[in-house]
Amino acid sequence: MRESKILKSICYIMIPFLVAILCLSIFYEIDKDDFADEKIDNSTYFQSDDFLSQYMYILSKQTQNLIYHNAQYTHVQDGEYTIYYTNQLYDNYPYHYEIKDIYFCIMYQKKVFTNVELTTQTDTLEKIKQYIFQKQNDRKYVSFVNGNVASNSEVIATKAIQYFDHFELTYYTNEYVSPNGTEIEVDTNTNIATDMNLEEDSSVEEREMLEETASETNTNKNITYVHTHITDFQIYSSYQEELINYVNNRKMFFEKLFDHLKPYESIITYTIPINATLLTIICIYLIIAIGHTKEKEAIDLNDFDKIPIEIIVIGIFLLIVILLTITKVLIRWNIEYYYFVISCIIAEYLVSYIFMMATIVSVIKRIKAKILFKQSIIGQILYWVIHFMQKIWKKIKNVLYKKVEMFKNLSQSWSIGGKLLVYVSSYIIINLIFLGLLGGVGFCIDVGIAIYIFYQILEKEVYLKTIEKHLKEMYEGKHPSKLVLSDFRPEFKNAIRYINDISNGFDKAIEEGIKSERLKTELITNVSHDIKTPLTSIINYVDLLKKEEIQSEKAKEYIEVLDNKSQRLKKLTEDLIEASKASSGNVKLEMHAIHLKELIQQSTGEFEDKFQQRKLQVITNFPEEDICIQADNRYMYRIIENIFSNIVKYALENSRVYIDMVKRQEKVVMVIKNISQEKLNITADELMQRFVRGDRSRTTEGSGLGLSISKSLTELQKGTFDLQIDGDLFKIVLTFDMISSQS
Amino acid sequence: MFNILVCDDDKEIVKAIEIYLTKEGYNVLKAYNGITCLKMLEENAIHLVILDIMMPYKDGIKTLEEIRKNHSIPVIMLSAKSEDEDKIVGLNLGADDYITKPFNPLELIARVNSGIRRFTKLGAIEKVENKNIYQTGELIIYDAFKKVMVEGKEIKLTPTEYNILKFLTQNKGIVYSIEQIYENVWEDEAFGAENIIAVHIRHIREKIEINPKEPRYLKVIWGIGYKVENIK
Repeated sequence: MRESKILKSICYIMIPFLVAILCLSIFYEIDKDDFADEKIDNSTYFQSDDFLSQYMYILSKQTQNLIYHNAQYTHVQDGEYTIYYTNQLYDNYPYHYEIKDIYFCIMYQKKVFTNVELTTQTDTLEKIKQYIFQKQNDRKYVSFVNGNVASNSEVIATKAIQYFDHFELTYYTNEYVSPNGTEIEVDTNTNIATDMNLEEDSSVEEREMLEETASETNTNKNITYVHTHITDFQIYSSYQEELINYVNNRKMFFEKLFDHLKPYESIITYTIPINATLLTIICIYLIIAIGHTKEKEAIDLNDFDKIPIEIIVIGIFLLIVILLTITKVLIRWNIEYYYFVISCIIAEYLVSYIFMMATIVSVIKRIKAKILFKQSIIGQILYWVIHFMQKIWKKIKNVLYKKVEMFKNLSQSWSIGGKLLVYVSSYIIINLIFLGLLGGVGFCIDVGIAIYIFYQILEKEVYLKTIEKHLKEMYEGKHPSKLVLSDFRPEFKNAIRYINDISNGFDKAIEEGIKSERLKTELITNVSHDIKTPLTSIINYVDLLKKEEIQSEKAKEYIEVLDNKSQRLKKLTEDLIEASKASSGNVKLEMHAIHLKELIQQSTGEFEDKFQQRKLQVITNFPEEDICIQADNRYMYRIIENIFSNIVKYALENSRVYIDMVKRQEKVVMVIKNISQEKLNITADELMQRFVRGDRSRTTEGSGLGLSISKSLTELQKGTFDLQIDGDLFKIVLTFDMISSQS
Repeated sequence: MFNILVCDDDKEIVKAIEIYLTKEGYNVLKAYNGITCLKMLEENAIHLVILDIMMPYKDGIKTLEEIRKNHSIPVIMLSAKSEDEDKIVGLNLGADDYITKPFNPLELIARVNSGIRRFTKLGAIEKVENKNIYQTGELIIYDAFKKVMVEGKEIKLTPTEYNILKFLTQNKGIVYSIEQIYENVWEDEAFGAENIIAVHIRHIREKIEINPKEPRYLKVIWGIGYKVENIK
């Protein structure tokens, strides 16, 4: 049903007929009273304001004729008066009715104007007056002389004064030279003006103006304005209280139409509801059916439906207006030809219908396809505006939200505070200059610019600070969270990406480093364990060998070497495990408060004999008060033990070992110095590395891991381990955070 | 004759231990894994077990748990694992001692002797309530005779060493700093050469301990002081 083209076509054809019939019916129903009940009661009409205003209008109109057009009329000279005769009474008459048999005689200065027919009975002013008043018995007469009203009609006598302003006219005197210059046509008004000159009641101003006009009568061009009043006129008029119907062509047309419709009056009563119902049904059907075709699932859209709706609506509107104008003109000129008008109207109606229907159908299709708004220009603009606003709002929200955080950080920064101060003060100075030059507008512009610039500067500062902070954290070896690209302005995009890439690389490297370090530790530990078992056998059997009664001195010597080296190997494996654990941080720390002085005393006690063997003298230089640090005491002893072992191994015999302890703010700095026995042909950094020993030849015992272990353990306990070499002076600087000794 | 069961998957080590212990006059039984160890323990009268941790079929820790279900004999753990955690696990499960590989044969013998003594003389040691006698574990100081006995052997100490050890044993279990020890032993204010105390204590340790680096009686609390362990 929806897809049926035939049904739709029928509908499209039916609509104009139905609408036309409906319109005619409604027109008939509404206007039938007007056309039926036409007669106006004479007696009441002549008592109404309607009549009076009409009557006065006619008279005032005639005074204008007298002033402007008198030269066109036949005229007769009566003494000093010129009498003009006209037979044209009604000019552009705006009322429906005519007052029958109206006479008038208007005098203005030396001129008289009348509609009385020129006969021998009416060739003088007095005769005309008599003629107007002769039918006195059955006529109403009225006269206005010097603003006084005389009438046998009470209405006019009392109310006419209200309409005197009709006679307040401003006209101009105008004389000009015709293009050929031979004939000079002088408007009669000029003569009047010159005559008026002599009249005493003219105002001084008027007279001066008119004098001026008169003196320049023969010049090329001169315009003077003159103002008239009821007192300037003498009007005599009479009329009969009877109306004649005013009929024009337009009215005739409608009456004819009305007459044509009259035979169908009985049907018309029913056609309105039937038509309305039918139309409604058709419209609803069309609204449902439009756009659906057999061929397509979706709404059928053609090229016409893709033109923005505004263009179509405006185009159709203009077209209809043009059509209307054309038909209107046609009808006006040919209003008396009834059938021509009818066909014009029908033609216009049908053309308009086609265009309007096309538009409406298109609109319905668009609504159905949900593209009405999208295809329209306003829709596009609105969509764009809304989209833009949303984007801006989102950005503002985002920026505001993040900025609050950033500005918080910023406010702590003095450098930015200083910059801000400079900006603000320079702004104020510029602002004052602006204010002086441009006033309020300048101020507004200035504030706008300033806010914008401040914002820009601050935003940039914020970004830079954020990036700097981030880089600093990276530099310090922390792992700051990634910078989010959307938090920054586009110009920072590349910088952010590079930083994030570097940071990613770092993270990856660190992760891999940790992983490989752990694997290494595991490997070393496992291998060491595996070495230990066979080593146990070696040590044990070497020991057993020693206990055997071996005669050969050489064999004994060899066994001694085996013993030494196996012990060395034992020490080495133990150190290896410790070093790998310490450097990978794979150590469980039990932190206690440790008295550092006590520890050193205990340690020197432990090493006393060894120091004495090498004739090393230990000189301690400690502060009076107790020095406490937070550390794991076993590992602290390992650190000192390694350092002391190192000293025992490498210090110059017969030299002194200095152990100094200094408090520095919240830290304690311990410096252990000794003189190296060998020349130190190696840098401190190299010395710190694992398996490196002061003597490159590695003749002395020791694993070379001692200092490395000490350093790792120190760092694990939040201390620093620094090694300095100054000539033969070998210096180790240990720093730890102090805690109060009470704990 | 005491029967000692040595259990280790490394046959050479077992053999070496056997040689040492046989020399000391012990009867040695050998096992090469946890299962045989437990079996032999059931079949023979064993006085002490030396047990390796890393063994096939049943490792030392599990074997130890099994042993402790039925036996109260001393068990010495023997392992290449030298980490503190491993020692703590072993000792907590009921091991009496823990020796790390590679070990010093003399230390092993000393510890075996100690274990046997404690096991066989447990409760037989006269608890002397004399106030002139100070005791912790098997360290006994006879103040009247200025004599120090450790595991039945007399130890020779210098007078200063003796005084320090006596003071710490009198106050066993308490940690004393060098300064406190000095003040108490010398009965004088401490100044100057306090590391004399540290040296003395090291000497004492070397005399009374089987392994001075892992002392049983006189312990060093690094950075804090010294104490004599209170052993029941």
